[in-house]
Amino acid sequence: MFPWLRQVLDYLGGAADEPPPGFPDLLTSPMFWGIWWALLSIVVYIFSGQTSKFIYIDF
Amino acid sequence: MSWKQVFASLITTAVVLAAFNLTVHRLARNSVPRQLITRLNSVSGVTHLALGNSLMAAGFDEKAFDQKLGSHSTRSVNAGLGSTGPVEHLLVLRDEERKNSHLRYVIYGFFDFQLTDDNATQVSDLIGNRAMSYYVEPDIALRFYSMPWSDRIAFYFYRETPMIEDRAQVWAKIELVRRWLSQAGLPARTYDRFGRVADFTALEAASPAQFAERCDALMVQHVGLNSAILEIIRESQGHNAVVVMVEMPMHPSHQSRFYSVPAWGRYRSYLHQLVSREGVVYLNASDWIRDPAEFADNLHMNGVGAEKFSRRLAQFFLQLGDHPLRLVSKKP
Repeated sequence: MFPWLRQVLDYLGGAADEPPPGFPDLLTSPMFWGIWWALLSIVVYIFSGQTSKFIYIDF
Repeated sequence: MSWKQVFASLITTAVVLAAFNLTVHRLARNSVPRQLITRLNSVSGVTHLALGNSLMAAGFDEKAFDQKLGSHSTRSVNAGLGSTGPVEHLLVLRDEERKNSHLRYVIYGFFDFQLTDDNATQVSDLIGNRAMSYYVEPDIALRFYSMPWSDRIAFYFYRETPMIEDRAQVWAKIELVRRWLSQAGLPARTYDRFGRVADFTALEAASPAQFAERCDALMVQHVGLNSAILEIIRESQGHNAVVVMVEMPMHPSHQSRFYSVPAWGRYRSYLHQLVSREGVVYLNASDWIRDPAEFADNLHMNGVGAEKFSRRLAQFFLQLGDHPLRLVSKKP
């Protein structure tokens, strides 16, 4: 299980060109990659707010 | 992956990000500035408009003020907005003046050097409540912000992108989670409506000496009133409203550390001259609240302090009577 998971993460992270056996075909489509990149961008975005030493919460 | 596939992926990414932008836009529909504008639109016949930052937002109690004035023909509204400056206050005033012909007094609450500080702003500063300048008269805001040209270009891009314009809507929620996690197992910190109580000391000068130095520097350089403040005065007077500049009540520790230095007394007289020249009433209310228990933190009054301050402020307006400008040149 864990070696397979590692191979999946390698594939998603771009370290491997081919997905491991058993990886759903649907998730190798360009649309999946588009959604994946967007989700990563959103995760980066929502956690990039701690740039000021002082934040009002009365927003 | 072929170029065609890469292109298809990028289109998909753009679609998802567009959907996320719409989500942020919906999240921000009830942001604090929008709530304030909606509220101002719903209250009619306002005669006394209280303007300022969080000190006014926390310190002005409309009910106590109106009760003390005891007149059916007067109506006050608290238009204070936390973490904002004179430019945003000007936008709030203009919004109110567009639909209200009853305005008689603009009560502007300030602290420290707010009246003479310039409007130097970077586009990254326009976050939280200050983001209102993206959607309430952005051209007026840009006229008063002192901003590099690259930031002016970015301003137009940002205002079309909810993810950037209203990023505080998302970041504030994450910040709350971050604070909750960082506090696990530690003694509870005290919070008030604006944030962590301890954080507000960061808004004060580092030392009385530095504070005094700043007072003297502003006078030596003959610094005038902030351009947005001058516009607030012009706009108000153009609508036949009298402006009252109120030095807001400050915590006793702020009083003893900073307002007791002789340089502040000199700066106060200097400020008084500047505002009197513009036909504005100067009111020193900084020592009206002397009990630390009537403050929520180092800067903001709590409910009890706000009620006390507002009643005394109303008393001042009763004394002004029908000839408010007779107090323009009196000592603060």
